[in-house]
Amino acid sequence: MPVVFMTNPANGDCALYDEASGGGSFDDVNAPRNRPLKDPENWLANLYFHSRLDNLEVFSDTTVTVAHAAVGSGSGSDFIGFADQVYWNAYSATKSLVTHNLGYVPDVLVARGNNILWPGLPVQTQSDGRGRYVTAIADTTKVQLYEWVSASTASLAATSLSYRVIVFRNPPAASGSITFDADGSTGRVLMGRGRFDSIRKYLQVVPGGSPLGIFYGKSIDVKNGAPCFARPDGTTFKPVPSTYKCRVEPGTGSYGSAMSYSGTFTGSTAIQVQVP
Amino acid sequence: MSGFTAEDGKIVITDGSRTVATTDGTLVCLLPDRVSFDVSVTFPDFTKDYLVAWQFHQIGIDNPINIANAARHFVTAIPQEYTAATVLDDAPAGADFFIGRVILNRTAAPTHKWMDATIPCLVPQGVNIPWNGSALVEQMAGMSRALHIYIKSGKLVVERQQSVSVAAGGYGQWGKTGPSGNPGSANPSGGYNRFKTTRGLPIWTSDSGGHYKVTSYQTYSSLVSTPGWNDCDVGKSNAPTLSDPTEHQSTYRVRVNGRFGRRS
Repeated sequence: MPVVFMTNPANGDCALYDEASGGGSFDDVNAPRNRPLKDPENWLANLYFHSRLDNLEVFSDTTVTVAHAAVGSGSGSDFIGFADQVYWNAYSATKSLVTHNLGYVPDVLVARGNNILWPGLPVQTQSDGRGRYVTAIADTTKVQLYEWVSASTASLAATSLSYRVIVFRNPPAASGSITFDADGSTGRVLMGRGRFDSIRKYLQVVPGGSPLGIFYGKSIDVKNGAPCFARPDGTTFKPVPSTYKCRVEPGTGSYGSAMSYSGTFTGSTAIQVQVP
Repeated sequence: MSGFTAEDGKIVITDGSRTVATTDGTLVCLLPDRVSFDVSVTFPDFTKDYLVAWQFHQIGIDNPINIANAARHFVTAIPQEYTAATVLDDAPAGADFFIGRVILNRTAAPTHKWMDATIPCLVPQGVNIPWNGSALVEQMAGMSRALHIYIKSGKLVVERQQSVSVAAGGYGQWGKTGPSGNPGSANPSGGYNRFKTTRGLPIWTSDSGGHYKVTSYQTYSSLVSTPGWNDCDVGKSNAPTLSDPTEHQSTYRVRVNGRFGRRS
């Protein structure tokens, strides 16, 4: 099907799309071939762009450095005997990231390196089960970072990590009368009565990767009572070591089998996005 | 160069060196209307068994024999892999993307501890979490609970996953099988750890309510029964109670607010 760019003067809509089947006159907005223009909610698969849809305009793009505190070794009861130990939720804290003052809760993406945060993404890890896990939270004025820590018999060092915080603005309401304009001198493109402006930044999908990855599906699997965390960059973290075993005590019997993660999860499909 | 061009079979909108939009599907296109869902999901109680742990300690080396005898009941969780999904909505035709935020609240927590520790919720509650992927909501020694919110087979789902590890070791007999008549200079001890049907992880016990019974008595070697745990065995006079008061299910209120879209 041909790719069409068309406008609807009646409401100022602009759209770039694969024509629908059904024919009709190419310049008739009511023709079946132009249904993606008139009814974008039901023709999403045909659309590359529609001024009535939200393309996630960037309100702010800020890199923030967070000082994470050291966390001492963990402790627990001697309920039963353990050959090794991981202490869960040994520490938690909330850190400030950015203030946006938009007056509503915006869509937000927070990235650590090439990985967009999912709730509890591990950002500092050790092979004996020590880990620092972070979750972004947002409200009507600010974005924050919640962290919790898993500990072992060793302490987790303090660290300073940078996070990229991308706050998206709600799409503007239509205003004015310009359906489409491409300024010959500046190249600026306006569409949809102010709803699209080419000088604004929008989230983009980047085929082939870079620089920020976001999962489509699951980011964690659990098996044998232990988690496997996956990151969009393809790395994984399994905090429970294979030396983690237990036995009934009092008693001098053998420890049981390892309580570490026993699955094969490596992550879900991730797409690469950028904000140029 | 900035502007709107048609080249190489593509329509391209640029701003200086930036590519803003193209027919290569550069932009994410989200439907304008937000959708909201408010559901409760429950991680079920674990499948449980019991452990009766008997031990004895013999004091003194000759008749009469002084013996301390203890039997403790543990609730155990047996190995498990559980998953269940709640469908929130069908994704609109053509949608392959959902972006939004989630507020989680644990509305019902386990009534009892896991291995002497309260099971915490690892996710900040009552706040908007920009969501993709999954969250580990609870984790203890040998137990994991995770929530996944994603588009699966054309439907937006909340999937819960629960896992309990392999059983503890140490079941069976250990040390001496029971008191002996004349152990010389030693102070024998030993025990027996038995399960009902399946070995598991001991997760709860109590010093009260009959779950832990201690008896001390004096006897003579000729009267000692072997194995020494017989009178603490299930149904016997010194057996601990096997009642299970625990309930370890967790219920979460999940409020999702976001938009479906297409990444082209």
